Amino acid sequence: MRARKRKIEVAEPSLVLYNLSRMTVSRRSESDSVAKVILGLSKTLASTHALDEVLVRILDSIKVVLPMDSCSLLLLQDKTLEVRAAIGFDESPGILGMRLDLERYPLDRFVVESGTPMVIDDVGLDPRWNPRAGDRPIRSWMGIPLRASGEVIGMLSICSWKASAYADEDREVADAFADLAAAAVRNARIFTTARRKIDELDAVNKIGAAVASRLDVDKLCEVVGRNLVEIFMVGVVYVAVWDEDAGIIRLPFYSHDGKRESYPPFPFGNGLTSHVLRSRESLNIGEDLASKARAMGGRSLPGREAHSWLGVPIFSGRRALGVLCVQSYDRENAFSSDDLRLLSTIASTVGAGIRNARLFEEARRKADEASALADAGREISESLEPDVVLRRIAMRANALLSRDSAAVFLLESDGSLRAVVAVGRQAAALQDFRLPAGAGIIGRVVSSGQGLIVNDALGDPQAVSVPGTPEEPGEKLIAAPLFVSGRVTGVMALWRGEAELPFLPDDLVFLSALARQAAVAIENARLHRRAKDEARRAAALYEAASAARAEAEEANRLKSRFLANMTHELRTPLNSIINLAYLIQEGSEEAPPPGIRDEASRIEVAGRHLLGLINDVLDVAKIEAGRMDVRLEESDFRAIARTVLSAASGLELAPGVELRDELPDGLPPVLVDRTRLRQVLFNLLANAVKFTSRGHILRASASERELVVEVEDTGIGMEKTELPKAFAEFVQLDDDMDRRAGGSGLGLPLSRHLVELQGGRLWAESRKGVGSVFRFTLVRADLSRLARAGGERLA
Amino acid sequence: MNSLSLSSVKVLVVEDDPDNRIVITRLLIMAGVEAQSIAAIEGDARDFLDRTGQEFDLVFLDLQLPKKDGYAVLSDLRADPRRAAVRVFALTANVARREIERCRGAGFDGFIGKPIDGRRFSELLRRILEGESVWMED
Repeated sequence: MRARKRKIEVAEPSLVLYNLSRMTVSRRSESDSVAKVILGLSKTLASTHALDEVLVRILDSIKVVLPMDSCSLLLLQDKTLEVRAAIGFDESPGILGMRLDLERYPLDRFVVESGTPMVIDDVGLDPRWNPRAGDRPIRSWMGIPLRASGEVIGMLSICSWKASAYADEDREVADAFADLAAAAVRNARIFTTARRKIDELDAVNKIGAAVASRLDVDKLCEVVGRNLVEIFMVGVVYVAVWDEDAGIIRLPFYSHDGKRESYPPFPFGNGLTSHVLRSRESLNIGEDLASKARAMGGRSLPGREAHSWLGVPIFSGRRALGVLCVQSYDRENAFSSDDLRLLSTIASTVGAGIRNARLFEEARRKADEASALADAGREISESLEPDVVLRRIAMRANALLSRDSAAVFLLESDGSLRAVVAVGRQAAALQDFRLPAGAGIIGRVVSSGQGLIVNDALGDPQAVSVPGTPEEPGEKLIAAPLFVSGRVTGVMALWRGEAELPFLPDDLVFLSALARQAAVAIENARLHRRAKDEARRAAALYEAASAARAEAEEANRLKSRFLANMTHELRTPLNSIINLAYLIQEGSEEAPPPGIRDEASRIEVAGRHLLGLINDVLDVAKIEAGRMDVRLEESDFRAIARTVLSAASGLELAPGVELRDELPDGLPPVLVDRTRLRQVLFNLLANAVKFTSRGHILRASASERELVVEVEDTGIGMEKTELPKAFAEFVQLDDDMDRRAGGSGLGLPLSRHLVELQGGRLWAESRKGVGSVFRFTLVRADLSRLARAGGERLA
Repeated sequence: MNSLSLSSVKVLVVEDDPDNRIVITRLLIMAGVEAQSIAAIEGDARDFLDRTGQEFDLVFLDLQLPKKDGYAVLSDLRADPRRAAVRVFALTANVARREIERCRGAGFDGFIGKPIDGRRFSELLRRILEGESVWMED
């Protein structure tokens, strides 16, 4: 639309020129110069946008076609006519820019206000005529209004020193030139507006691009401010940002007289900026700025006093976030509606940018907090020294929330709080500072179990001063409780100085999360300490136990070696005792006297018994020392059993006792250590003989997997509860029986060990007064992998 | 070996314990063989035997001897081609299996543990003279 309209407006001067040429040609067709004038004028109009030049050319053209001594073009502005072009005056350049107050020039005023041309034949006769500067003695005057879109925008003034110089035709020609001038002015204005719009659009685009690429509110404001300085070229430019939660207004950008300066935040209140924020409407003050600002309770900014003030709100949605402000030192009414519009356009761009930046900052803050919490969690798991972890958490909290000071207080048994960890500016004074039970703002956190923010700590009636720290007005405190198992065990606190921003509810949320981490650290450390103590005790016990065991093992080893040596030493004298006793009985041609023979026999039996004991003790010692080796060979059980039976036949059998062999034919071969098997069989048989008053039996049978051997007696038998004892080493069931039957008490346990060493099991069934059956199993050689591989040795 | 008749068999007992020396010598004599005993052998066993002027069919050799242990004496004897037929038996109170194995490895013809079962000694000697290599319990 706009482009088309402009084309039409530009086309207008051509139409006017056509009419003009038609008119002048009809009047003075003989004049070549007129045609030349019109041609030159049309060329000028087509080639230049410089309004003043166009207007002078128009006046020059008028001079050619109309009789006149001077003429001028005046443009209307605020009830005055300003001379924009003039010819024919003594000092034409001096007259430019001259303003005619319409109040003092009634004829001019009439032309402008009525919009009708006026022709005066002799101004001297008209009382309304008011001579003007630079005029020669004027007689005739024509005042032609310049009209554009139905409005009068100025006037063409043509003068002649002759009276009655102008006829109606001349007025018509002047009318036409006035239309031409009006069109030129409009065109020039459209061009200027378009030019300005393009410039503004450029500025807005530039700001838009800058805003889009910056995600930090302050940097964004900096860029916007610098652009505003460039666009408006005025005394003061600032960008204000309203922190609604904290109730303050910050100026991230402030410049006066082109100098960038920093300006401290001020509270939201009664000033002009606050007014814009509160009303959410722009404010343009062009007059009486100082008194109006004072009336609103505004504070004056540094620099000279300004005369014009324009501020527009920066919106995010419906919320006012801040203000863009420009001020002029030089002029009143310095800012037009166009300036307001441009600043508003920029403000809307900035609003979107700040919203984005804040969202980004919020996201980054959340990310920082999340990573701080994650780091705190990691630190807790890294170190279990509570002081180390708490210090790190306090440092992290301080870095993110304060940069002044932070401390972790722990509750002592008497209810007081002690700062176990302190970091930051006042760390030295805070470290180990002790708050009596319930005292201070921090004490309130313990009693209520709630975190709190006190943004005017000095003004809090409960505040306790920490020795060694200055009492700073505007000191701010934030504190959160440390909970362990639902109980408050301490407080994490942070301070900010006067220059810093107040703490916000979000800060408390974050601090509470860190406090939870700190509490976890304390609890972990406590549990770890307890676990470590317990582990240390357990380790000490274990060490003692293993030392005792090593000692016992060493003692056992020494015992086994001693026994082995001892039995060896005992065998040599036993050899003499047993055999000399035997030789006394049987070694001489003549039989010894019966008494001596009997006594020698007792010596021999006692010697053999002693030998049995020695052998058993030695074997048990070997087994205990793990040095009993077993050599398994494929063997015929019955052959081995027969040799043992024949040896046992030498045992002293009670009357009515007989050894009965019930071994069947065709027993499978067994995988045994022959010596050890003989030992087991002999033990069991001797045992049976010892306790049996009526006969006993040796049986064997083969099962699918093994050979089962039974030694059955009809002896005294045992209670079921006594059976385990029978297999315990060095235990005999009955002291009286022990004396009667002799024996080391090692036979059964030793036999069980030996059977187990050969891969079998040995057990017993017994009924008191009825007798016992001892059973053991042997590995069948025909089923054994070892046997098939061929007589391997096992150790 | 079968050709050996009890009465023509000469046995040497090397045993440092005097009581044991008496016991073994007596048991041998009771069993019907000719036996001589000494407490120890000094120097090369071959020289010693040369000096005695006698030859033995069997030697019962204690392993723990004061001057020169049984293994050293055996190795002297085994190094003497003229006495290749002499059969040497270890006679010791150390009845550990390790000792028995060592004796087998050293070239003894058998191992007799102390105390000897005097009541079954004749049978043992008979088996030895029949050429059996007795290894204690067998």
